[in-house]
Amino acid sequence: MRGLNQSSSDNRILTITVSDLVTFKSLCEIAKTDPTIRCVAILLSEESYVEPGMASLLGSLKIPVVAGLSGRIDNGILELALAADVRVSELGTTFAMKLAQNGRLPSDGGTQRLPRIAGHGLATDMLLTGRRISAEEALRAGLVTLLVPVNDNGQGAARIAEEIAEHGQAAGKFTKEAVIEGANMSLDQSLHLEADLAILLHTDPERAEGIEAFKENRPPAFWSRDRET
Amino acid sequence: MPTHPFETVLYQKCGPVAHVVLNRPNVINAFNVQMRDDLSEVLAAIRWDSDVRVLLLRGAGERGFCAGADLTEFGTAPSQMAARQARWERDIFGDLRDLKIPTVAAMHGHVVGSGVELALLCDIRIAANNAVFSMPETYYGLIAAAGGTQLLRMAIGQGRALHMLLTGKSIGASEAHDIGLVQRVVLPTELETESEKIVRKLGSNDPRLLAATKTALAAARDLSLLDGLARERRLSIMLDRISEAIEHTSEHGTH
Repeated sequence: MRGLNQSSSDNRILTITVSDLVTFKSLCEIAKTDPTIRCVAILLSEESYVEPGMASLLGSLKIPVVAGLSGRIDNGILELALAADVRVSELGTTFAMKLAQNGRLPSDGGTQRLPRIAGHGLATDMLLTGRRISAEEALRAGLVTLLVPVNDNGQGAARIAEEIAEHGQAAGKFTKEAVIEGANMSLDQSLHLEADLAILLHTDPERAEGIEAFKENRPPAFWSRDRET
Repeated sequence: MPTHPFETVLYQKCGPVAHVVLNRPNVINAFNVQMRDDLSEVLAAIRWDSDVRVLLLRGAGERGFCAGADLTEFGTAPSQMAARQARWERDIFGDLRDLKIPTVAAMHGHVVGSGVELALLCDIRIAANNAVFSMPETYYGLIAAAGGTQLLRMAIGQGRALHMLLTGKSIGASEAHDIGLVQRVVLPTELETESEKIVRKLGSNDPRLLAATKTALAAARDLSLLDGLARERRLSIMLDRISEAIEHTSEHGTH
């Protein structure tokens, strides 16, 4: 599994397995520009290709990103995983940030996203001592939010991505923006951001469909409508 | 025990405790415009009532605390401009958050969307073990808009908040406790007595001390550590001076 790996039946989800920088960049560009894509699933293991700047690029995507993790998720690969929104991990996966041990400072968000996502205490321990943590410890810390069996081959992440792709597209984007950008603001400012995004969403046809579906007691049909048109 | 009649909210004062009950049990207390208006009046009354020292928020009926926003009323706002004006004219979420008294949410059964947000605006959250929490907004093409995107991140962390908000997944009471969404879990039959115990204890504490603690905690959230430490010191000195003044008055009389 290398590079572009979209399943033919479902073009709402862009699945990325990282083999080289050029492919990664072009896939991120597709995720940014193709309006039919509603969610990105990125599959990472110790074999994933990574270099500084890739996490920043992944973090700049406006649509939700789910990461499926297996094997050793270390250093730059961990930084890439931290730039996703939802992290799913196989049992037996381990996590470590050993750059400082090798005399280097993480340069693609490791010192910033790890404490924000896994908590300051655990992040300090991992960054300063290079301690490797288990999938279970990562789950307790909120570094990952779902554990799946070994040899899951990204199915867990795919399931989450499918759920997200079923939901409102602008709603997903705005939720991501409110949660992540709001973290850089005072509570008052972030509540205004959230409210303004909610009101901007009033112009979204999917929101109207969602409300109509609720009133008619049926599931909303967002993307099946895309497909018809 | 004076009772004030509202269409969608029960409000009752028992000594220092303000009991506020979301009261549309036939729709699991779904939050609608009338409930917003009723809560607005109730919260204003509580804010200006110096007898009230603690608020307890619950949901009426067997099925749950709150099923979330009543979507049957959605799509009726005349314009985005009007919706934005209305959001801040009657900001009951801000009113609840800004109360100086401690606030406790006691939850059971369905706790959905705005129900989770109302609870997150309270200081202490206690849940019956039958409580189930979810944020289904994006499923309907909506986003959480009563502070959920911010307060959920603060309560349970960015990754878990995004997982809940983007997928709408449900969380049981025990997991909610593990991740810090609620602080206590009890048997459904014990929810009333346990929450009563908490509010009675809070109601017997010095209200100035509780208000100062809430102010200091808000500073920990909003300010840099240096500014937060300075705020804590000022609050502590202010409380000492008030205590000294009270002792002085009681020793020397007020005549």
